[in-house]
Amino acid sequence: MADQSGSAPTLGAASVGSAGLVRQVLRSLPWVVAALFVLAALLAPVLAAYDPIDAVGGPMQPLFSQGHLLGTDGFGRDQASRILYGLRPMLIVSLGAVALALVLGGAYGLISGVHGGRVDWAMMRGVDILMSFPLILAAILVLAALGASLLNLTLAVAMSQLPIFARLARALAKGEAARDYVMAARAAGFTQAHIMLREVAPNLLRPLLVQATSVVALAALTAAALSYLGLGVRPPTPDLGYMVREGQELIFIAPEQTVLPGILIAVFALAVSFCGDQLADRETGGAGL
Amino acid sequence: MTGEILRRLAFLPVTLFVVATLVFLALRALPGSTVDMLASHFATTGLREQLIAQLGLDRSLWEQYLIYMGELIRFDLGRSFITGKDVTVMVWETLPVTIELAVASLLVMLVTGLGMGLAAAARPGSVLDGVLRFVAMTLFALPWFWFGILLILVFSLWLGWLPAFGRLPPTVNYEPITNLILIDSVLQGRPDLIGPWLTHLILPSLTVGLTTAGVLMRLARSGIIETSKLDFVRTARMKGVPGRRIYLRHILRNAALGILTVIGLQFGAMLGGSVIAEVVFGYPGIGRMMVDAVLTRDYAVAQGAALVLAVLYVLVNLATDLAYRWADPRLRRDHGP
Amino acid sequence: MTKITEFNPPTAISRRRFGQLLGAGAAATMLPWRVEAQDGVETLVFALPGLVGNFEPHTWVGFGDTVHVMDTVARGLTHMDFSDPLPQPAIAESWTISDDGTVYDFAIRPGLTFHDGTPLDAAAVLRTFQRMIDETDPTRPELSFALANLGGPNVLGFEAPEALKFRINLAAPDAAILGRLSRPDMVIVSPTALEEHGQEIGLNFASCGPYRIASVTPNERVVLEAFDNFYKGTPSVPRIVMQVIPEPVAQMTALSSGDLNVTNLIPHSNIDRLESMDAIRIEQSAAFISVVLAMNCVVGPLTDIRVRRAINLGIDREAIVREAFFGKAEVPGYITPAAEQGYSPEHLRHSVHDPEAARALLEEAGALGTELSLISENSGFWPRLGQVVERSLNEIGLNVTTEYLDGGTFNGRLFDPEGHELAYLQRSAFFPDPDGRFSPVYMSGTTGADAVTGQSGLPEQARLDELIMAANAEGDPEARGQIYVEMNNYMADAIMPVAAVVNTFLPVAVTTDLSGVNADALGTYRTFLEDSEFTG
Repeated sequence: MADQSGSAPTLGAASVGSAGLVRQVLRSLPWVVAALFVLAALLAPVLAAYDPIDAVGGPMQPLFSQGHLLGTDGFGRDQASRILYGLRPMLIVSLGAVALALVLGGAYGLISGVHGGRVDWAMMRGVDILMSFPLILAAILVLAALGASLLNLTLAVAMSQLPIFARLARALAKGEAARDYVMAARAAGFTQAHIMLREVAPNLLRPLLVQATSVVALAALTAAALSYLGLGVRPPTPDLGYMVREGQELIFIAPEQTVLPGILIAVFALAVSFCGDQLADRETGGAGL
Repeated sequence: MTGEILRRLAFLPVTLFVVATLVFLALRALPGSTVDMLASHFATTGLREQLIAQLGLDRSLWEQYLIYMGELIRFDLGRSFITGKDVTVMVWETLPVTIELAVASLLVMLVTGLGMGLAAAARPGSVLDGVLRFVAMTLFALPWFWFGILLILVFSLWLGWLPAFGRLPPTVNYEPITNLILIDSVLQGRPDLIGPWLTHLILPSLTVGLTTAGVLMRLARSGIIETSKLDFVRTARMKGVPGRRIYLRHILRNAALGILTVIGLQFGAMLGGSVIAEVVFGYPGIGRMMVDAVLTRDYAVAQGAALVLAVLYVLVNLATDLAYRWADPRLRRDHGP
Repeated sequence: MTKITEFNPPTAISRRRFGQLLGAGAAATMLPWRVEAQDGVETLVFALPGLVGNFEPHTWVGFGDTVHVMDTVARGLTHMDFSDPLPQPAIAESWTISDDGTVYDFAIRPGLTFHDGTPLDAAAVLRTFQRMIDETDPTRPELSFALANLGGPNVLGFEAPEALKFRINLAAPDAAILGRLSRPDMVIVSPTALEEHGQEIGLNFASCGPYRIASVTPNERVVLEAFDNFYKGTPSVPRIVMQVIPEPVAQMTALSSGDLNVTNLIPHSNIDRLESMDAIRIEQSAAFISVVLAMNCVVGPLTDIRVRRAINLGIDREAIVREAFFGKAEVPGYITPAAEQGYSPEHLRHSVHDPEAARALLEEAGALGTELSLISENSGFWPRLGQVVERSLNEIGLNVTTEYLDGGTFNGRLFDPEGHELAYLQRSAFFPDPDGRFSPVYMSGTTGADAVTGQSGLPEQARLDELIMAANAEGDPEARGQIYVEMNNYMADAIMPVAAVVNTFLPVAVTTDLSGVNADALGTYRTFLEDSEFTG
């Protein structure tokens, strides 16, 4: 959770070169890991030794088998290749959903905050209602009504994140709206739309982006959970969340088939959380929220 | 302050009305109906039509909506298509289980989250701080659906320490009164229930509590560090107030404000969001019931469960806000925003 | 009254107890940890997929309530234990059938009572059956399916001509009715309880099965006690706890620790692993559960029987047995599984895998590259099975896309004639009579034939309807079986509305200290635990 008090951002207070090289390396580690995930997903066709959907060997080969580093699953598909391709849905959904939530939630909060008064009150009660709606129910309803697909999964995850951005944007916009330059613009007779888009919006972008980074992990976990419930991509398309579920059935025979995808989800969420953390640190100038 | 509370309470029916309407419409927008679920077991074409009429599903959407709203105004949640039971009864059966699990998870979250937060904030920038921040972040990043299974594997299968399912051992007789086992053990004079109940509660509450503790740890840590930089703390220090006293009276008390909000939000989320833990550990909670009802298109049950969870969410957050206002002297004087 | 068996020491208690002490901290050790086998009664623990706590026999509530618990606490006029193709006496000790096959007289076993002490006589039986047929009966539940399951309009009425004689009158002969009377929805309910509780009988259930209900905690467990006046005598195991354990990992863990004695819910993939454990035995069950691929004969390319035949030839059933069921299944003949009457090895020709012939047929029909949609449920073994089927159908030159749907959506589209092209159907045997797989699904007028396959409208269907009726008019079991052999062949050769995919069973795992569990029944959901016995 980021600080929403709207205090003026101060930069660079956290990193002082006293702790030396180790600290520098540690700080860059999450960025490197996150970048590796993105690269691996992008380069999956190059890196993967096999097609992730075809049966390419005997089923249920153990770890470190000849030609199959991570073994094969019950259908004889190469696990390593499936994991590489399986990164894609997680990345697409988590990044896509956060982007969508940022745009929609940001716009909603901006309108609410700049408008103020009754409109603001009503719009924020709308957000309250959305939040009181049990998340899992909302996601299942959306995915059952629209059908399970990557796009609809993205929509469902975005919906769960909308309130975060709407509230933050509204708080920030309210702060901005009270400032002199907005008053001046109002006095000069600029339209409400102009004030929102030209004057206030640019000032919200930075904090919203910082917030976005820190919720990518949450989006990735939500997406994986919904995939695990069978509400994500269609099998046999590989997906980490669904691989956890498929592997769970084999847990007494080949525990790695459920443990490994789970670890990867956790590592990705961990890396992006640290990235978001560092950005938030710089934004709020210190306490390391 | 009372004005704001009243305003929010007055808004509760509006929230419920909107939630009820949305769930009503969304459920009916889903393909398939209960009749199709029942027809998968036995039906002739004629019987199917008869079933649709008996369930009132041949009425227009508008008519069904009016009937539903009419019942709701009389606090009647309707009856389950599939179980034939009153939804109110079904809610009373399942809600206590979810509350039990949510409270236990909240305790796990508080103990681990606050504990780590306080320890880390004692020496910001130290190695311990770094390690604890890493642990907190890792806990947050664990996929909870996967973590529960791992806990079963390790603590139930390999070590054999803790049971993997249910609320009590199958051999124990227990007839619920409130269905909150701790309370019933007092009402029924059954202290023998408490031990087994606790051992069964450990794994599910760890699954939910630990994965949420990370957020709390970070908040507690930053809250304490920030407060200790504030003017009044410095003033107190200069006045020579002992360190422990400053910590307890000033820093913790102030940091508690931010923590309260998170607890409220998380508790609300736990009530509706521990569905997966309820399934994995065979806990008969309301979340599992709600999801099953959606999948079988048992409209009244899904609607009733969603409404009850929404009410709880609103009330829990209202209570948190009240606690917040009460704890914060500045807001106590304030009369709403 | 039975004597209560001596206290049976629970297994591995020392290790568990040690761990509990270690794991939970010293303060809590003051509490009594384990209340093992309260009052020293031997307990059999059985895993349920779900439990609503409503044991109304005449509606469908769920497998937990309507089958597992119902079978254990209630009984009907006849019983089928899956070892014998013919129905056995239960509450009825014998029966006679009129020469024209339309009047069934049942002699009720004398001296029986219900769990609540009410005497069990023909009047009591009549009360239960009257509730099925009389739509004005105030105790009748809203959605009563019982009459439809017994024979629908073919059942004319019931009588109790003598104190221990119960009669069923039919319009036309129905050889399957004795088998249907063993279904879990044909159980006899105490008339006293019915009068007292009316429509709420399911919440206050009293019947005459081997166990009586001691307590129910919905969604969690039901505790059952052996019934002294059961017609086969008091069951050996004095207490059964049926506990909801939905998650397979938790089930397997509980099995290996001895906290669970019997389950039929574990995935096929784990059978070999469990079998290697000392304390667990996997019971071999016959494959009574069949999966077929239904083809909607009235839409698009599937109207061409050549395309349907090609699909049937294209399914790689060996691969399904191997990859989706880990070898714990068998390649089917056609509709009737090998364990039932009416099966013949010659049916295997309907389920050969011949990709070349399939491709040739598609080419002939001009259907190579045709796009087809297939709907499947997204839980249980369905996604595993679905991936293998989709793969093998695409190998013969079709372009099949499977949609994995939640149960509600799946069934909604399944029963909508315009909602699907290909869809999976599962049939299990609630009683091992071949009729159960034909008349409720493939006869004109059923939702199966009308909406799922659409075969009702085909000219070839009339002959199938005739065969189904002829089989039920045939009193001689041998001759009747022969009609089913022919029926399988006719349906496959002339109509091909479904392709047989696989026959399987629910793996039944039992702790080794228990014997006498009816695994064939459990392998197809039916739960007869009265002959179970602790031996170790």
